[in-house]
Amino acid sequence: MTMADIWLTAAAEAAFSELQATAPDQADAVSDAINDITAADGVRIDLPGAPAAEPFLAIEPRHPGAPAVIYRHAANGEPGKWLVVSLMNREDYRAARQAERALASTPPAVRELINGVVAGTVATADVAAATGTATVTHGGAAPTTATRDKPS
Amino acid sequence: MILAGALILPDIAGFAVGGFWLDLKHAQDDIATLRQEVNAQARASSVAGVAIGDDAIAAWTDALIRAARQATSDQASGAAAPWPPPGGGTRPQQSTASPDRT
Repeated sequence: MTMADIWLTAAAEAAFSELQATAPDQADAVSDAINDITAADGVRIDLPGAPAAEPFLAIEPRHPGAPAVIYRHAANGEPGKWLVVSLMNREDYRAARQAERALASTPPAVRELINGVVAGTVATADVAAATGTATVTHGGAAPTTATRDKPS
Repeated sequence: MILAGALILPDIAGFAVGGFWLDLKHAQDDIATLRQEVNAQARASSVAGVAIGDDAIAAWTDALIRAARQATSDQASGAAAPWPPPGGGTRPQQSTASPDRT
């Protein structure tokens, strides 16, 4: 196993460089977390956008303020064995993780609704951003609307 | 002999009737239990639906969209570079690779 088994996206590399410049202690913790990728078991986080066979995984660095490391196995055609996809603001990561946990205990229809809205929103970029509203209709049920917080 | 038969038959009849009655009672109990379970599930679903509310759904959706957007966008950010980056991760463990960063 060599360090070249781990690769970074351009965005992750830029985020790491910025972190080194602005918060070296957090960068240390992120560096350790990335170095541990080959040995540690990351926590799966189900976000749309990952290749079907390579779901996103996450490691939280030991520094509580450091961004979470989002990574996955390299897909076919990608270099190395692991790809660090993103360094995600810890609050955003925790909010997403909390939402995942909360959704797990909801009725399937609610999960379908929210997963559909998330996948659809990410796939279609900002189509619905102007209204802040996304509507999903699924078989036999009345359309359900999820309204995002209005921009202040 | 007749007396003995007369004594036994009522017992057999009683057993048969009693057994049937017991089966019916058991089935009724099962149905009652099942009905309670179904009702409990229905109640749980509607309570969850009420408790979740629009605010919670909006918050979860928003959090997941924000995370998914960042991951998706970063993933598509272009050519990947090997770790550690030039200048090093802060604590490189090995340096067997010579990054080609042309």
